[in-house]
Amino acid sequence: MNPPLLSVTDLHFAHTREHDVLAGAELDLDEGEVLVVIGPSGCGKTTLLRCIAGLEKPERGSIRMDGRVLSDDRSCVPPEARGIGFVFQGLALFPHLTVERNVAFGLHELSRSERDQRVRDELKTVGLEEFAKRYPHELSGGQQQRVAIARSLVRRPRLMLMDEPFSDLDTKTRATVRTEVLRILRTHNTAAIIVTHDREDAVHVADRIAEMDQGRIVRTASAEVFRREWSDHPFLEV
Amino acid sequence: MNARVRLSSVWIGALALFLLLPIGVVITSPFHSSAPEWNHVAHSILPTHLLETIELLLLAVSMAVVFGVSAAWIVSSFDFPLRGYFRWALVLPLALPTYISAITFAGLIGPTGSISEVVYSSTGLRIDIMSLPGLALVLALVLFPYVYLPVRVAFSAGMSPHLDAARMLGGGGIRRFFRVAMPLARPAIAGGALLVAMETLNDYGAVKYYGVRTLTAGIFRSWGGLYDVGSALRLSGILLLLVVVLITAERSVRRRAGQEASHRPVVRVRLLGWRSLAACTGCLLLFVFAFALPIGSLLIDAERTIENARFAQFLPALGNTLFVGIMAATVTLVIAVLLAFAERRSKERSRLTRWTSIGYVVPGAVIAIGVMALAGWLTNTTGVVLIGTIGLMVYAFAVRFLALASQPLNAGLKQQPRAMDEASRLLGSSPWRTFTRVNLPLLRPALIAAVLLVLMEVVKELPLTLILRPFNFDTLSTKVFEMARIEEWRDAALPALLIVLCGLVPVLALDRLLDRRPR
Amino acid sequence: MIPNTMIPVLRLLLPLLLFYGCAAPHEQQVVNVYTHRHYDTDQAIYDQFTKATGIKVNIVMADDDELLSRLEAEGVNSPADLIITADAGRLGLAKQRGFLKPIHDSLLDANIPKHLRDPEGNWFGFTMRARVFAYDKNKVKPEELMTYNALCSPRFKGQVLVRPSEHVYNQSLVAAMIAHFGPDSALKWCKGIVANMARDPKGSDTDQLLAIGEGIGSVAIVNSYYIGKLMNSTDPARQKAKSVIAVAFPDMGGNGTHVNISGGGVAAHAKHEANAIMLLEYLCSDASQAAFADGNMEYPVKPGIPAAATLQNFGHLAPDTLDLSMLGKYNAEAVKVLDASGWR
Repeated sequence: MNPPLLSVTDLHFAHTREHDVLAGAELDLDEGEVLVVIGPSGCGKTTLLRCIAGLEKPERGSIRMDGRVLSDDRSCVPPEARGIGFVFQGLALFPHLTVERNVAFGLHELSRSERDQRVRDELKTVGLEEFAKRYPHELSGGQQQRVAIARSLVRRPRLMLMDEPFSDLDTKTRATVRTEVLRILRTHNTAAIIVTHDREDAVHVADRIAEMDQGRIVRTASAEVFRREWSDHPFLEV
Repeated sequence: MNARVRLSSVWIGALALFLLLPIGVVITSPFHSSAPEWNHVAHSILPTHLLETIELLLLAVSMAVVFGVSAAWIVSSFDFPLRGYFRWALVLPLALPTYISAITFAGLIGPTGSISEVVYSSTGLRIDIMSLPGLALVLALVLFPYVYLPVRVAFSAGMSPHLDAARMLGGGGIRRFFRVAMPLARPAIAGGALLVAMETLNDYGAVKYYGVRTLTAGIFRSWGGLYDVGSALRLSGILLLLVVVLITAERSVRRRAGQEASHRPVVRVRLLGWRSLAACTGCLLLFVFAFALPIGSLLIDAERTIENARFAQFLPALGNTLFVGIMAATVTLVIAVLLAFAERRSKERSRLTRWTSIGYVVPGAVIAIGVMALAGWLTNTTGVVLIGTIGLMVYAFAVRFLALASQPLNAGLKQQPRAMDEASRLLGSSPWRTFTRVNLPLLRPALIAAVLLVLMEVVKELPLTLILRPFNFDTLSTKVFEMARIEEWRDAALPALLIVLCGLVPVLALDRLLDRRPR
Repeated sequence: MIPNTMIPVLRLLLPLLLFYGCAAPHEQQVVNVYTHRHYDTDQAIYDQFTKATGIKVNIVMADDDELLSRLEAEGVNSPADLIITADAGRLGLAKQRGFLKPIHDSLLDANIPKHLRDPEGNWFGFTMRARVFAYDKNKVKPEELMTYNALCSPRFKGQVLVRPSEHVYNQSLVAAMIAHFGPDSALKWCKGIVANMARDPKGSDTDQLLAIGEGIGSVAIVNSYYIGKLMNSTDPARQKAKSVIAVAFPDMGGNGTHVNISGGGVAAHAKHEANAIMLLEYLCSDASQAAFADGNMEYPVKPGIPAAATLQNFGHLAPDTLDLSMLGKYNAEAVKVLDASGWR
């Protein structure tokens, strides 16, 4: 068996004003795998993502990707050097840039022609070619979501982190966007960790689901296992 | 954190320190300079001067708050004739330097003022604005826009849902004002009041002329009268302590109230009959007293002296004023941007950069002592002569006015969600690229506001310019000063008007800028 | 860490910042003057000087104390050649701190009476002004105002007008009293004035004169110079005061009327000493002295040059011949006395 793409061991992070605690979180993720982390609010899901992304520096434990140490007791690679994509809960699109320039933002090291080509391709993949010149606030919620994903994916990260990506959408759009996101991830064979508190989201997109509580991963199993379990107890919330 | 990033924060820390040095010289004066007359100063000057400072402060700030808040409330929640004009016209007094306004008011309603004379000969009543409460009124009339502007923005942008809710619950206008609008606008009021307080503490020209004994006057009394610079510096230290108290108070008020921005404009109530007349008259009176009256008087004086005026003298002075102003505004902005960057990067607000704002309340002449002491030391060690260069003047202006540039930048940055920075970092941008490509473009209105505020103040500034200027370098404010000191107020009217004119442009631009609704 | 976009801006700014204002052409002869005086008369005299000698006069004008602080900071590198203040006290202070250098110049010694210059040649007075009484001639008789002490009499209760004690004119008047009679009598005098004040001290000397016109008080302690200006003013707002005011030259305990000077001294580290001396001599020339007298209503120091006709009409000035360095010596003491008396 191949070594995992990402492996997180014994991650600790103390409570701050904004973020929750991590108390020995561990997880592995394979190439191209979509893992959903589910758990009650305040369980440390977001902090886990932020540590993997490099936005927070864990106090203890290590994060490795592709055999490279991203973070351990001695070193901590800054977020811009990790090659990880991140979709924020509020999306954090740049309001002063057009859709096209939002997507191009992460490609500043490429030549102009190459960059334009990549942006065009990416917008086509997410189906937003005709919105290239619009500003984010002129788009619908679902469209904005796709811009945020395209902006990260255009850099061809091998890992995407998504923090509650569907929570701001209404029920109908939600299903569409969910399918769409999954399709895009699969197109590039991108692995992803998606944080949510919604069971329906979880079972629809996940290959595997990790349940989190009080700063640690308490159980990991295939989406199938959870789906069966939850359909037996449809009214039990996590 | 990589080494490059850490290096840049070291540089920025050094920059902050560099700006704090002259003030450090002042604060640490008890340890390095003797104060032979301190005994007398502490017993005979400090008590009276501190008392009158506090009296003046309380009166001026409370009047400015009353003027500013009520004008902002009337203009943003009611419709009445001329409302659209008053809305921006009430900002104009900011362009008047306090000393010019004070002298002009003395000429009108001082003991021998032209209006006082008419009143006395017809009614036998003597009017005299030249007293402590009178000075407080004059200061409040000039400075109230510092409250009016932010409060107006708060009233019109942020609180429509709350006000609508209050209306649905049957709150009348007055009730809505005191129960909902005032508490919600508290941070804006506190911020404005702090600026008014700082300007009041810093004033010397008006205070001296009106014979009011403030701490700043005490500083000059020790320096010029007792020949004791050491005592003067110690008094400046006490002045700084007072400011620290004020800043802390402002922060605690700000912390207690939060306000989310709403983009829906407040629906204004159309006033009819006497109410409409009252609103219109109120605004008109405020405008007339704060701006039209002093300007009118200056215009009359300028018209009388215009045939003898030497424009050949004023034109270079105008050029110098604009040159130094733009130079200082640019440099101050660059420094403020670098400090804002440092602040944005550190999660905790850096103490060092916070303190750099304190220069705003140190009297200009005292900053000049600190700046000159540093420059003199540098000259003695390296041989580079700095005193009398524009560079040193600009440095001193940056020390003094950095707060004005930093404040809008930091306020603007606070409104940008951190996720935006993080998104940029995760898209492969360095912190600096994040700052220049994401934070700064979104800050454009704040950047313009920062430049304009500094420009406006440098144009009005006097003592720093006076002491640090190169040979044969006149600005408009030094011209006003020369004429005012030989007690020829009328000759000072023309350059004074030019100062106001220079100030009007940034003031109006600022007004427009603050008005723009967020996207 | 400085982004590329800012580098050209910095390249442009830095030299401008550092060298603007230093660009005086080197071949021209100059004299660098730090002065507290800011009169058109002075500028006209400097222009004449340049025309006559080819020496350009560079000016920094600021308050005495600020100029002294600047000199102190600049130390040996100071570009100043000549220091001019409007107060003998400050000149004494400048001498004491070593900012001036002694000059022995027969022309200056001949033109300036002994008591108006430093015995060691550190500074030289070139104009004089007297602290006198202006009074409403309809309400007060001149014989009532023969001495400074006269103002303390109950006769003038609620009648005396004077500016705040913060001003150096008042401080040096009290310093002179201390020099002559000691701090106790000076304090007694100050208290007497405070008891008789028509109002809290405020405004300028000119404002005190206008207040006489308005009938707010009947006597004001003011400088001769401002009365001269008022009497020649065509400003309609000043006519009322002009029509009622007369001048008394009070005597200070038999020593004459208190005077102070404007004077100059050569800076200790002057780079153009000869030019500075030349300018000082020029300020004491007949032409300059006459210009100070007629153009600026000051008393000339050079014997034989008449005061302006306006001043002569006020009466005869018999100046106190107190060694003027005493004014500097006792200025701090004077402030303390003023503070103790409650003179705002």
